[in-house]
Amino acid sequence: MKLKPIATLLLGCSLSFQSCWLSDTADDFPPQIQDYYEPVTMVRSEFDTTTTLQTTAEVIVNSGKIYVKDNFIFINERNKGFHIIDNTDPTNPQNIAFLNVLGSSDLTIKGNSVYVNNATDLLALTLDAQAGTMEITKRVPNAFPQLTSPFGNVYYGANENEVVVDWIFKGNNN
Amino acid sequence: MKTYILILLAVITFSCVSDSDSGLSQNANEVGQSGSLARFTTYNDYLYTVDNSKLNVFSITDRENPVKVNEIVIGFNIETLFNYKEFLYIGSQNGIFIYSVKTPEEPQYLSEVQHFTACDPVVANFTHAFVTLHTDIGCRTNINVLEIYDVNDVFISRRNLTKPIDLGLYGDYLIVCDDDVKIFDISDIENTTLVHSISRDAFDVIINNNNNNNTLILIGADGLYQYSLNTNNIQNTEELSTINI
Repeated sequence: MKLKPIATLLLGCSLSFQSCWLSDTADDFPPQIQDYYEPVTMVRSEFDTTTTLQTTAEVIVNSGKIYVKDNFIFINERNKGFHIIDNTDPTNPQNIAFLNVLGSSDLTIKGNSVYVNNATDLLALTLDAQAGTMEITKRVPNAFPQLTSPFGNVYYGANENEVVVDWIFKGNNN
Repeated sequence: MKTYILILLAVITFSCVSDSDSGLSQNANEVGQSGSLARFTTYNDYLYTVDNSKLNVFSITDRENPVKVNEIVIGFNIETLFNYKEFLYIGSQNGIFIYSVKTPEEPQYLSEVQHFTACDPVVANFTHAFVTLHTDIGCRTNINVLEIYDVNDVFISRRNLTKPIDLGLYGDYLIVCDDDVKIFDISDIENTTLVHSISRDAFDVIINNNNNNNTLILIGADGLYQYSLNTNNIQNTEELSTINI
């Protein structure tokens, strides 16, 4: 008769330990924080025109992964594009250009072709950072799923003509 | 309890797989280098990418005109893709999946190593695979370790770290982005030792060996850092430059 409440208590204890174990981290984000990210969407016709090369450097704000090819370092600006660093002299690297690629995280190069993820699309492009020239040689639309939030959330509200290009932190609404 | 590791399906050993260079050998200058967090890699005339659940295969025989030729469902929460010879190591929050790309358009499942849910970049050489498991938002697991497996999926060792993320191999050394950048001597794989550390907070690392100079390139939230590396004296890492972020 009394086993039931004890069992419930034990179960409750074990669950509470479980929740401690899951959340006892240096970066202790409460789970509900994920609600405060909102998707940024763009219609396809506009999205397709957003990949450009600018020969003015951008300030690095939200650094992502790096890729190194010959004398250049590419630094991802998360979901925005890639800073291009001329590293001919590693003691004096120069931030020389910015490749705008919305929804990007990854870049790889084979020969003269640069492959990047542009939100849902794969782009193949060639570029000359010093001359400031860039040509998209191929767009493979919908090669990838829509961008998910930093917590892995999927935005189901996008219609076929919309692309999720970023997720922005909306702050704490409490 | 959380130290349990389930090693499953050690099906095919590397010794069964021919080491011959199948097809073209890559021109060293034709491809660049990425860190172990990457989700894109190329092998011969193919581009491989991972998204959350799939491995995507693109033919780049015509470099300027990638064509999607295959996609393979791997699992959930795929995070990283690492290529070593004709093998793809796919890191997910639940384990490492190893595929052969000897038939490049039809990657073949070889084996997997399952571990506790965690974010896990992986690197490998011909004999061993190295994986870091770390706590991160989205991973929600309190585990921060470096694990070493031999390529037959035999678990060799685990070392507790603080918050290991990216890692890279440099000869007999393994470089791990932890609370600082730690360099381990892995020449005795059963008994790895910490030989040097660099006081930088970084999450991605590339060991660049262009122009006969070995440069350690690190990126963190606060900067891009470069150090010279010297195989003969691993403790002699000289800071070359910093771009503050």
